[in-house]
Amino acid sequence: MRLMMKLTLSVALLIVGAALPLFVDELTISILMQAYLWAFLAMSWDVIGGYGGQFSLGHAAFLALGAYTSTILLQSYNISPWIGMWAAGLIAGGAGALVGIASLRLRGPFFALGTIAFAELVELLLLYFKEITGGPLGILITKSGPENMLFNTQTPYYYLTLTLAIAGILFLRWFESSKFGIGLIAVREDEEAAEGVGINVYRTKVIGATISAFLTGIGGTIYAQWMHFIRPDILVKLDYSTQIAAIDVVGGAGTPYGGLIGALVLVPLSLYLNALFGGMIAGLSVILYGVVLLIMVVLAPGGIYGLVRGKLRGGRKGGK
Amino acid sequence: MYFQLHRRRRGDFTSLINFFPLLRIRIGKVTGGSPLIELGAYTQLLVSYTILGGVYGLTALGLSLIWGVMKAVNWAHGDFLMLGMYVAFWTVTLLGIDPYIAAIVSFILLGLLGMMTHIIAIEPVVEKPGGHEATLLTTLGISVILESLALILWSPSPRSYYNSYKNTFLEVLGVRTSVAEAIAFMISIISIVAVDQFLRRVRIGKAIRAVSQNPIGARVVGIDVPRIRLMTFGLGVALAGMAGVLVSTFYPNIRPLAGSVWDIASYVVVIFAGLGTIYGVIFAGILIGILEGLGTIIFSNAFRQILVYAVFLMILLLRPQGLFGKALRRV
Repeated sequence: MRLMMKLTLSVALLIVGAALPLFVDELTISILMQAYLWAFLAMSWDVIGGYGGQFSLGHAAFLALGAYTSTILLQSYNISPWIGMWAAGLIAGGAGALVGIASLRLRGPFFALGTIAFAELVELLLLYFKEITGGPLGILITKSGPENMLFNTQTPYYYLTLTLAIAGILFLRWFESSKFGIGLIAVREDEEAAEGVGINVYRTKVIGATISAFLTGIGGTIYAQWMHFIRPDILVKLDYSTQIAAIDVVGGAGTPYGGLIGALVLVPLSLYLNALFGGMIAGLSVILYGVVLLIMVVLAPGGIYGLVRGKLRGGRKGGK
Repeated sequence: MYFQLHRRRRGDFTSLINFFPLLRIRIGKVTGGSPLIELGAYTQLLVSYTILGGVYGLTALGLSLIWGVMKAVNWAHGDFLMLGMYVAFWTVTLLGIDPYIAAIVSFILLGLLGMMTHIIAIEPVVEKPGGHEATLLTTLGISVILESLALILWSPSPRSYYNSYKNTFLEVLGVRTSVAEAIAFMISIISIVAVDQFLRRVRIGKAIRAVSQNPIGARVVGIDVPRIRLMTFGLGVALAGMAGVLVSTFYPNIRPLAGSVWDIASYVVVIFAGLGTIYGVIFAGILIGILEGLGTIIFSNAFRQILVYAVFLMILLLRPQGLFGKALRRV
């Protein structure tokens, strides 16, 4: 019975999601599209940040590496991003493996700081190798056409990112019950105990970080194709790293739905607030964003998902 | 411009390149002559960066304290520093007092603000599971709020105030520094010694140390741990406020996003120094200052940050307890 209910709910949501562009205006489509993209990035982060318990604040670096890889392949070698996104994932995944190795030595806030430094280093290197990356000016995408993942309207991007977000949820659902996923959760809960029952902590952490970075790299490609240009200072920013993490934590880290819930709350909130107050008082929308973040983290440690699930199950605290 | 979404300029390190407009002009005048003069310019550069490093030490001190006692990362550290700069600006321009008296005013005001922040953002989450990550996010919220408030109230354009210390120079063995820089360096060292003595000799200081070493044990012997945390956070933020005033005496660029230049530098210093060392931060600060100077001399201005981050990552990986820290137990 519960299964049937869940299935019906999922199908209904899917139909609503797919049919929505027919009823709403371009701006709303664009906002939802960004929410889905951030949801996917947050879900990618969730693999190592939520399930793995390694609080990365350097995911913007993987986003940028992905975006740069596919864009350079497109602009210089004429390789379509549909293929380039896999290369983007691989490059970002390689960098993720490095971060995974670092996570073996660094724990808690040290890991977070290490990833910040890593992201800063990536930004500086992108600025430094001007010949390849265009330095501070970045790269403008001059190609066009759907074969290059470039569209004139927001709707195709909407479906693209919707697919991505659904794929992300399905992946996480599969992941959390897979042998590897369970191993990663075990490592999060207690490394020594996990080691004791025969889980290779080293391999688990490195592969977890690689998967997370791989997915983020693919998200980076989509982001670049949507933006039509990339620049180090707008991509590799701590803001993006923290935003990815914040969305997931607000939604509910370590759950398949946390990323989507968080993104659907935070992204439209910040964009609408910005549209509402942006003209009048520049900072007001951002203040409200900060207040919401603060209240959410203090009052709902398990994220919105944890809060809702806790309520449904009769006051028991949900969450991780 | 500043407010597309919640894009803050925290990671914006290009501003660091323009960090020393004064310095570059000075070097520009000296270089281009004989190799001997260029050597002099290098010494000048190294001295300037050493002084900067000392101030890095002070900016990192508050962060290190908070981190050491409650294992919380204060993400808004740079923003408290920025508020300190504004305290200096307003007290000096409106009341006409000396910037070094403004440092005391800033210490008190920011200390109170720090305690308020602690009550709102740190205490509710710090003891829960996943509390370290939660403090990262709550202080991020505080940081966003402070920066936006500063932007609304004081506009993004940079300000500076007149102070005679900045324009007076000391010259020792051909190396010139402004009086403001020299005083900032000295106050940094004095503050670090003072904080160390406070932690060693004063009753509250001892309690802070006890909480940082063993919170449960501290509670057992009757220390009010939440109160000690409150005071530590207040002290950490007060030190940031004081550092902000000192920075504003020689770095005449007071703007709402000025904190971003300093806070990542502070994190680097804290990691370099390692936990539980007070003197460590001054050495680590100076070390980073020298490293930046060497990076500028050997490579280029742009490459110096790459060098700092590369060394930072190496230290983080090879010696996570920091250069001067004791071996870590599990965090």
